[in-house]
Amino acid sequence: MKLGDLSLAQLRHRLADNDLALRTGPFVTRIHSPIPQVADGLLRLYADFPLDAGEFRDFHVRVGPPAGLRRWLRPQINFWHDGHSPFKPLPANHAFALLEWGLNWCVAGHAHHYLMLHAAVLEKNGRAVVFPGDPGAGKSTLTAALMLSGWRLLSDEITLVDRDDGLLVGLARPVSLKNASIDVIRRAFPDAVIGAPAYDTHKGTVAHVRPSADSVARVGEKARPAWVVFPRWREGSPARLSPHSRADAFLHTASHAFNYSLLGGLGFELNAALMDACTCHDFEYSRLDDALRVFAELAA
Amino acid sequence: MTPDPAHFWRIPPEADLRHREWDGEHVFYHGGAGDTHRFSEAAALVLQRLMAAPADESGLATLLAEAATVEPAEAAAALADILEELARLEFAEPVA
Repeated sequence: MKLGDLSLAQLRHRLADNDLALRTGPFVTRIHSPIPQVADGLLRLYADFPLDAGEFRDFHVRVGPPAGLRRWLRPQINFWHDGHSPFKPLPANHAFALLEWGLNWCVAGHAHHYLMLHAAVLEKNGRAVVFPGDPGAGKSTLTAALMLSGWRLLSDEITLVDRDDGLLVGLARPVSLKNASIDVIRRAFPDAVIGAPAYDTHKGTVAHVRPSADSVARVGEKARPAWVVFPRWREGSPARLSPHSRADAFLHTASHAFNYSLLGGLGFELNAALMDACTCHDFEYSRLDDALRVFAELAA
Repeated sequence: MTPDPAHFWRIPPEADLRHREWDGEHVFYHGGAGDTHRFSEAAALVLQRLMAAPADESGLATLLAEAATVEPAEAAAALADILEELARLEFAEPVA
């Protein structure tokens, strides 16, 4: 059964009753929330994802109002994992964004049976591109554009490297867009399904793009890494790939990984195997259509 | 520094070094400390030699001189700097 098989009323009811277990790639999360925004966002962005009827859940999370007098004066929202809240309360209209950040926190903080890099990853024709990218570099914009152009999304935020075979494991969760990139994607892809924006978050305005149906349907297919690309949006720049040192790419991904140090020598070996398997590039661009052409040629 | 044939260097036993080279750039991982460093080709040459077995300064200087096709005195000066850095980072240590 898919989440989209539920009506909005049924979904709200199950979320309020703590009776919704959502599978996203290798993880099953039980989500408990009485907040209508959470149900709205899930139905809009996770409709293609399967519900899980099994007994085991990796994460038990709740999004709801915090206790105390303050909630009557200024509506707020908080996130709990196994009854503990890792974040400070946020304005109530950030509920869905907070769920997304919370789900990222759950994976990044617990899934140490993978090497977890802070990077997006997509696949085309059996080969995957990893986008480490610094915040604000245009990584998520490019990720959304490639997904909406037929690349298979594995992840927007967390690249999972399988410790047994070095292949990349998908989550296929929504792509998080920020600020101007929301309208960039809206204009370039008028049919893209984008969730309600959360304004004035610590990242500015945030909105999420629904993953393609193909990305969700094939989330269980691991992908072979082929390229590590550091994207950078720069006004007026023609779209071009240039070589990037693999040693530098190694050090960048290691220093931005969620658990490289924790995994010790295994983290080194997995990240090194990723670099062994890839060519590394810088990528500058200003126009999305030019960028998409370069990546179409890369994957051809 | 005059390389001393009686002065041996080694990888600290707890280091459990791992190494990768891509296009002439070298990255080493120190398993004991959990530190990852990029080293020059010259330092990498010394480390790789020490990973095989402890070696004396004279032998290391000869190795560097031959690899870089420079005079032994020039290699000896470079070796001193390399060993100092490796010792500071605890990637190599003199054998007591």
